[in-house]
Amino acid sequence: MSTKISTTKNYLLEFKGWAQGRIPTDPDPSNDPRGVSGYTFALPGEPDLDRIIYFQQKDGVIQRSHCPVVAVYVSGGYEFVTQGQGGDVEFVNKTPIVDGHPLYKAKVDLLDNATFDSRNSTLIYNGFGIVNPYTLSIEGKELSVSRRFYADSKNEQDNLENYNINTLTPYMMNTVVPNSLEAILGTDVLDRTAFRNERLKLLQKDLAVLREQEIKHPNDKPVLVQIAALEKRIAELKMNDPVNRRTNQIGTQVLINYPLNATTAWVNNKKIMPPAQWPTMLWMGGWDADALGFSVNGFVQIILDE
Amino acid sequence: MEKTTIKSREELIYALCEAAEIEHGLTCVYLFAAFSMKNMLDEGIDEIQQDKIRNWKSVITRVARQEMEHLGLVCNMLNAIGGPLHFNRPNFPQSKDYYQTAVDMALSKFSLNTMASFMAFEKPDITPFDNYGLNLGQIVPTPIVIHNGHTVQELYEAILNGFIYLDGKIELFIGDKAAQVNDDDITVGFGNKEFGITMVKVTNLDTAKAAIKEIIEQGEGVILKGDAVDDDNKELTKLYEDFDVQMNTLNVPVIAENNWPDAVVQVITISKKIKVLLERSLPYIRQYPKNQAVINQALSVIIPSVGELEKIGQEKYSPDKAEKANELRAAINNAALNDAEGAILYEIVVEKECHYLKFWDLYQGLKNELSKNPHFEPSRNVADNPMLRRHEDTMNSKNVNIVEYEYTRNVLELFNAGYETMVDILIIFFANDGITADERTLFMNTAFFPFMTMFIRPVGEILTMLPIAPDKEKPMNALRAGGSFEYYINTALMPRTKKEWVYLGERLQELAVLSKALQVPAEDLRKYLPESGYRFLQEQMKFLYTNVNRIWENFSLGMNLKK
Repeated sequence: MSTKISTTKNYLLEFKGWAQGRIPTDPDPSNDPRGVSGYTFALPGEPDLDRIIYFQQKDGVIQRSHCPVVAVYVSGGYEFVTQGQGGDVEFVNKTPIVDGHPLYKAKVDLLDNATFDSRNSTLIYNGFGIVNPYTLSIEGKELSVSRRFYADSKNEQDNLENYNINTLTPYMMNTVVPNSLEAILGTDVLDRTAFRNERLKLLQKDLAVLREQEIKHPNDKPVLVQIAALEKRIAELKMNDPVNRRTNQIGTQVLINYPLNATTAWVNNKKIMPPAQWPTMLWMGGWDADALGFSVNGFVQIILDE
Repeated sequence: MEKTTIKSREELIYALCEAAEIEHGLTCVYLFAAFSMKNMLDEGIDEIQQDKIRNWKSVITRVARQEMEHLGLVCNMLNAIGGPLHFNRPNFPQSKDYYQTAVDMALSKFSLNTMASFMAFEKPDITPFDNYGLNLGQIVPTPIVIHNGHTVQELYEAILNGFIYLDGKIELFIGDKAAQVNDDDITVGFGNKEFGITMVKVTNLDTAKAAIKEIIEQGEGVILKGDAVDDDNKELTKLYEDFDVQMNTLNVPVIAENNWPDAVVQVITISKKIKVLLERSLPYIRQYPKNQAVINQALSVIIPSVGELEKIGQEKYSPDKAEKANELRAAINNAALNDAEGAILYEIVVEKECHYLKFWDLYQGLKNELSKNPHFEPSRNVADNPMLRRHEDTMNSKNVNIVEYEYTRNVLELFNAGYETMVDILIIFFANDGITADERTLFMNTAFFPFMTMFIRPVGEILTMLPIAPDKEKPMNALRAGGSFEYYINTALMPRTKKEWVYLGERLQELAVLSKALQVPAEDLRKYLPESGYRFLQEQMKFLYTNVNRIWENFSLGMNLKK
């Protein structure tokens, strides 16, 4: 009896970068528009908080001064072909994805306005937010793909409102690692208090400049709005006790392990049916409450029929 | 009247129950004001004002959380001495006679007057241990016998004295230690110290003292044990004590025909003493020199007002002159009480983050904004005490506004039903009697987050956008409602059987059904709200339904109830 040899084209893509999430924090309601009692806020002149996770520059990203720029991109990995099944797999044509490869620096994005939310323990237990919808996209020079994760892969029209907390928990609850060495090393913030102090000093300098402008033009509304925004950031950065959430959560790592399991995927604008789920894992960490941003680091394995 | 101390368990329970009522009531009063505050740019505020209002609101909600913490600490004290948990309280509004406090316990929007009344509730008493009296030797204590205008601090000092007196004389701490609640039992949020709350288990005199210390320091900023003030401020403290005495006599009696001109002369005499005391205080305002300007500003009101009173007092009585004289006295009182007093207390009290000073800061902040822009209005046009109905305990209360607009009535009904259900859950949580650890966790995961954050606050805020009554003439200017925290029946610990969970499941289901019916706001409301406001309302009501439905579902799942 002959066994059919399965041959697949694979891309194991490592990605990293800086993302933004303008998210209200406890004990505010999860959809609070400005932030009141938590430690994240929409500043004067900024639009309301939208809870959307941004991996790429687009409408809705709000760039604050002295903060990293939003961009998540492919940073490495391999392109290869596999032949065989189970424990008898042969890797063929393994090529590293480095500078010069069409996928190197490809944009990695979360589509469809994904939000990060636990809805204060109504959706899932507080602090273990869900990213929903979770559709990962990679857009390179010669290859663009996207595929979604569903909590229930048998029901691809799923709406989270149809699932109770017990059903969602095994599929979607994330792992939260406080004081994660990986997050600390990955974000290069070894001293969280010093990191915030450094930002504080920069903003204080900016404020001094704005104050001089205010003296010259006391009724210049845009300047006054900028001053109010800077004052709020400065006041928040001054709360810099190592146990304070503002400082402490820089070291927190949230692990998200949702396999891309939709029956179909988009490859170069064509809908296809991949031969298998696409494993993916990412972590978000280094939460910078002043920037409303965080580091992203992960991988995805794209598996296509050869 | 002779002041006496608490000398029986019954009296101590009685006083603690009153403390629980006041803490509970203040939580509601503070939240009502916070919920009334604007947050959208099309509500007539600019970006800078929006930010200021947000920061003020954050202060009030933090204080309200600490009042809830105080209620929890009182629960621990009651539990410790075998007393019942007391979550009852009278409906709003109650006159100041009810608790014999300085001001009424009433619901009103954020304003200068409201901040002044909040300051009155939280005012520090810097003299050591003012005894709080209950009549001696009575089996059933008479209602609180205490001088008018007492502060919450005085009540706690009396409670502390009661603990000290009774400890050792009787077996005071007979409560189940397992029923005590501390930070470890409330894992939602309480571990985060920046939430500003800490729960202390009460099992003996030392821990009772620690609980009271926490309450007093947070509220009034005063350290117990008589060392209420910083030694560096002895001179200023002495001046303040004289000032406080004068202030207690400034407002009596009402100036009228029968006491003309003697009452005017009395006000002039007292006001002059106040003026001198404030002038002598000025050099001692050293830690916060900016506050000297506040005192000087108060003097700039007091001095000309006294001058005018001197002229009026020499004239013949007329109703207009009496009215004017009463107005001038009110101006002197406001300047001295709401401006100058806070500036002095800022120097004196030990805990600068206390509720009194926080409210004084808000008062000054709002006053400053109003001086720049007299048309600035930080809160929505919310009615005082907007109620679904009069209750047995508010039949004769003044300033009750019955809500008539149908959709608003339904949302208010939802709010009150949710509030009562939340209190029922809190009682079971704090009693911790006969429930499993998993059940207790489920109660915690229902009452704190999400019920307080995803139900009470959003619905309380939504209500301040909704009209209190139909207004065909000027719907945009219509008075608005607010969360009235009404009790229809007394709340109490229910029998600890599975049936109780069924009852709570039913209540939560009713909330889900009602919120579903309300998820599409009345079309007529478009006349009452700007477009963005109506859109926000639509989003909020839809979101509310999904969350209430999940709260019910999560509770039913946790308790294995049939859906």
